[in-house]
Amino acid sequence: MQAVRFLMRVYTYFHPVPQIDFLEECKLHALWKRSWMDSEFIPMTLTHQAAEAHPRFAEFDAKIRGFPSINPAGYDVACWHRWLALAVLGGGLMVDYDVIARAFSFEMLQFPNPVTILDRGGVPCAVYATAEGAEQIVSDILSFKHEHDGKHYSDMFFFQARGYPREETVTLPFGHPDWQRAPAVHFSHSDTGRERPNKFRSVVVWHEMFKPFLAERADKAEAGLLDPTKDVPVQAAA
Amino acid sequence: MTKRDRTIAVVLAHGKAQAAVLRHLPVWQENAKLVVFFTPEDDPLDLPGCTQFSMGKSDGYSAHTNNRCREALRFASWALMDYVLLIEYDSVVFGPIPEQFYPEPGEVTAPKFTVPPGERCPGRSIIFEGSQFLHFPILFSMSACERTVEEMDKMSSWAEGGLTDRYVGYAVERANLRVVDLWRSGIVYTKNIIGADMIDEAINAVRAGARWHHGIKDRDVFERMSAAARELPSMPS
Repeated sequence: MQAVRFLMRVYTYFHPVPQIDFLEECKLHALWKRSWMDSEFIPMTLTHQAAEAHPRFAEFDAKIRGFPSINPAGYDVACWHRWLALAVLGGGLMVDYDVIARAFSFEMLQFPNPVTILDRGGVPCAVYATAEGAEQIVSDILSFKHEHDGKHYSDMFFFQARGYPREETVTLPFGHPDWQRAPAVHFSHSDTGRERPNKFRSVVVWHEMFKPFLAERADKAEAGLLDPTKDVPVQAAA
Repeated sequence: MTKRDRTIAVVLAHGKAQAAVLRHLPVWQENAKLVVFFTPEDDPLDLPGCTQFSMGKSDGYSAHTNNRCREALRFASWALMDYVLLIEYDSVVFGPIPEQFYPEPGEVTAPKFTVPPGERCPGRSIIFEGSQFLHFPILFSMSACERTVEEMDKMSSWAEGGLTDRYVGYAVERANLRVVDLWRSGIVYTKNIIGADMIDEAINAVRAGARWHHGIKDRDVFERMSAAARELPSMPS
C-alpha cells in the first residue's frame, strides 16, 4: 500500500508597484515558491482579485486608503489587501515572498489561537489564521482604534498594536544568531541589506538557502545515489 | 506590455565563456526583459549588476549540466512571466522575436531534430532514449516550461548522457508537448560550432532571413553575423 502525503497551502500576495523593482520581485517569488514546494506545501500567489472578492472590500479599501504611508504608492495598500484575500481563501498560512522555507512542516502550525504571528517582533511577514481568524483580522482592521503619527501607518503597526499571539521560533530574520536553524527565514530589505550589502536579495537567498542543498543533491545524483522517481500519490488537504 | 516584457531568459553559461556572454548579453536583453544566468559554482561569470545563480560543477556532459538546466527552467517557470527563453551562451536570436513564433500555452518553439531512438552517442558509451532534440535558443510557454520540469524531475540526472539539448528535447518529448519546429520557418541557421570556415554560409543565411542561431563562440563570427542581421530591413539598427 502506498503512503499518501497531505499537502497544505501557503499563500503570498503579489501586486506590482511601479517604484519597486518588479524583476527582482519576480526572482524572489520564484525562489519563494521553490522553497515552500521543497517543504511540501502548495504555494499559491494571491492577487487583488482575491481581495476584491471579499464582501467587505469597499468598506475595507476606503478605510485603509485613509492611512498615511511613506512607501511607494500602492505598496501598503497591497499589504492591507492581503488580509482580505486570506479571508476569502478561508484562512491559512500567509507569508511574504521573502520568507523562505528551510524545513517547514504543517505540523508546526498547531496553535491554540485563531490568529498567530510567526515572528518574534510581531511583524506580519508570516501569519497563520484559521478561517474565523482571517475574518477576525478583517473585522479588527475595520474596528480597531488606529493611532499613528500622521506620516506612516502600515499593517505591521496594526498587528503589533493589536497584540495577536506570537510564535517566536518558527520564522527568524536573516542574520539572527539562530537563523540557520529556523524552519523559515525572513530576508527583509533591511536585514539582507545589512548582512550582505550591495547584493540582490534573490542572489543572497540562493547562496544562503539553496546552494548547499543543491550541491549535496548534485553530488548524490552524480554518484548515482539519488532516485529521481517520485511516484508517491499526493493529495491536497487544505 | 509587449511579449518581450513578459519573457524571462535563462542563460546556461560558465566563466570561460565570459567574453562571449558579454558580447551576446545585449542581444538577449532585446529578447527578454529579465535575464538570469545559471553557472557552475567552480566556474562562475564575473558579471556585476546581473543575477547569477551558481550550482554544481563545471563538468561538460554530466549530471551537473542537466541539473543546472532543470533548476534554471524551474526557476523561470515561477518567475511571474509568460514565456521562458532557454539559452546556451553561444546562442542568440538577433532582433525581437517575431510575433508568430511565440508559442501558445503548452507549446515549445525551437529548431527540432528528429533522430532514431536508441542512437548511440559518437565516441561515448551512451545510448540516447529520446527521438528528438532541440537546439538553442528554445522558447517555452510557461505551461510548457512547467510540464518540462515535471518530466525532468522524473528522469535521471544522467539522462541522455548529460547532453543538454538532448536532455531538454527528451523531456519535452516525454511531456507530449507540441514543438513549433523552426526549420520550416527560414529563420534558423544553427550548427554545433559556427566556425570561421562557415562564416560566408552563415552570413548568406542571415541575409536570407535567418536570425535564430546556435554555435556562435567566436567574436569575429558574432560581429559579422550581427552586422549582417542589422542590415535586414526589419531589424533595428
